[in-house]
Amino acid sequence: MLMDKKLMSVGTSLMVLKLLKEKDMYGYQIIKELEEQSEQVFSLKEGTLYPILHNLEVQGAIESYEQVAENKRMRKYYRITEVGSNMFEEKNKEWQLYQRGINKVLGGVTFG
Amino acid sequence: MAREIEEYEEVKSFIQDVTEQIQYRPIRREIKEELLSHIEDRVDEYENAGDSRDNAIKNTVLQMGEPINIGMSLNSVRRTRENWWGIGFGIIAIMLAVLGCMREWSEKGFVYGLFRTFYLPLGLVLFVFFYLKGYEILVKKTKVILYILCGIIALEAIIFLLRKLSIVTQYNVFSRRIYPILFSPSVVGSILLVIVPLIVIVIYGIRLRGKLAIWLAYITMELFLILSGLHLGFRIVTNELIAIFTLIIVLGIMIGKDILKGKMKQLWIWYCIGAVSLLGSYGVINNTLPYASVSYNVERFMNPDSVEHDEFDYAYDSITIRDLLSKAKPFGSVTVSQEDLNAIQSKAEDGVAIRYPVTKKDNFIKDTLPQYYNKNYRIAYWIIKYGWIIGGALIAVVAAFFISLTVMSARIKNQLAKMLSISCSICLLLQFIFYLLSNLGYLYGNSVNLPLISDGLCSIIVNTILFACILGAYRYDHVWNHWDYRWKITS
Repeated sequence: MLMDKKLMSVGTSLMVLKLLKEKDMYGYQIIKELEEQSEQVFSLKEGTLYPILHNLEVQGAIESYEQVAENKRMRKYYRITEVGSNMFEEKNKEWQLYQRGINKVLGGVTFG
Repeated sequence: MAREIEEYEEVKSFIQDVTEQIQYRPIRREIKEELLSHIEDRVDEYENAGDSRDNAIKNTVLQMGEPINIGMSLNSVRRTRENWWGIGFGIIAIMLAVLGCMREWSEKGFVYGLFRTFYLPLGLVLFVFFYLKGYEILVKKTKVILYILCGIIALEAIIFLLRKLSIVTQYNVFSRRIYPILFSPSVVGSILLVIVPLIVIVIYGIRLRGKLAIWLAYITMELFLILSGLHLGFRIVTNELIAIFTLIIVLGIMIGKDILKGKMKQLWIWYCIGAVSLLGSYGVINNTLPYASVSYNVERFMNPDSVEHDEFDYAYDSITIRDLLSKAKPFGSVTVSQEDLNAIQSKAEDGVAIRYPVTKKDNFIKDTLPQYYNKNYRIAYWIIKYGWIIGGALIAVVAAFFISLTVMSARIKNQLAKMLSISCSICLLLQFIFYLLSNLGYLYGNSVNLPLISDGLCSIIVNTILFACILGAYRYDHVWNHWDYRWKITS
């Protein structure tokens, strides 16, 4: 199912931060976790993910480090920082508020 | 044997299309490696699901998305950025320097003025180089910087020993030409200003061992201070204090921001012990040297009259500046009546020390101001020549410049860039503060230059480099990852 891009972009950074709060991950792993945890609702194209990761890194929300993978190639892992944890809490609150507002309207509340 | 993933045309083409959109070439490799690693993982997934390698690669590249868009998105995040305010202020500072030099041209002749001004184009060349390349070189060559610091310390120690043993003093070329230049107060003082950012870069590489980093920083500074004192035979008090305070402040920030890793309480304890040791040993050594003790300098700072002994010491300058400033008006130049001039001349005839004969009313300021006022007392000159309002406005502009550099440094996100930038900007700011105080008649230690504005070869060179490093670190804030810079001893 194709999702509205705007709805997607709001939640993607939030979801990435949530995943990294659980554990350090690399890019491919983030995409697979997103697919699994969202029950295939979110299937990010790889191209969308990396600009988001780099943007979060530039903002100081996450930081990266390298480790040797099983295939002997260097793999770049990401981990959340304190700034990122605070950012997640803030964005999460905004998202909850946004979600409640939409649900109230969609839930059939009428005025007038 | 399976082909390497990057040998496949589809992958090569995809990677090339992405990386060609990245404006800053040195990070293209990093991005390429990350994408290739991802492609390999995805290809493995398809192959494990039963796909052939060729199909797996085709599907993976399709799955990755539109390469040009990916590249452009990455470029919009990982690009250099300019700080036009900083550059603008820098241009104003250099124009003020040129204006001051033009005054030298008119007073002492064009050729003399031109000779004194040549270092401004030199400073400009150094600025452009360090702005465009400095940060990249400093962070990529951390080990080289460590070797350079060790090399300078070793060289200074060896030369001192050789001179002490009279092994090199017989060589006139060395004793009379090379040594006096290499170990002149200007050069030694300038080196002290520039070593703090270098120390910061080196200890950043061992930040995971915070205690080691703290001690390495303090010991390196201590060695530089000891060697500079041994070579000169006296202390360049203000430059040394600026270096010490900058190091202590930056180390404190690195601990507070959790950049230096370790048990926080322990780190703070070692930090305090190190700071007290450094300042304590510095104070103890200084108390044994003439004009370097804390008590002498504090006394001269507060009451220059009580320590002035002849017309050629700094206390005399402070007295002169305070006297002139007391005559300064809100607008316009300080003026004297002919009666005042005659009174000054009488004092000279009665044996009261006056450095230069005051010949005419029109030359009063020039004749009365301390020597090298163009370098050491430019702010005082502005106030005396143009009045408090104009002088004050110029001070405000210059202060805003140095403060904005410090604020800009604090806003840099990349930790290494931030620490490098903060160390440079604190060094510039402290020079400005000491300079301003001395220009108001409150001199502590030796005179310093007003960064980027005062006359002075070494000062222009060193402060231009510091300034360029600040703007360069800001420029590359979004481009370079600081995690790269970690030494093997921390792994």
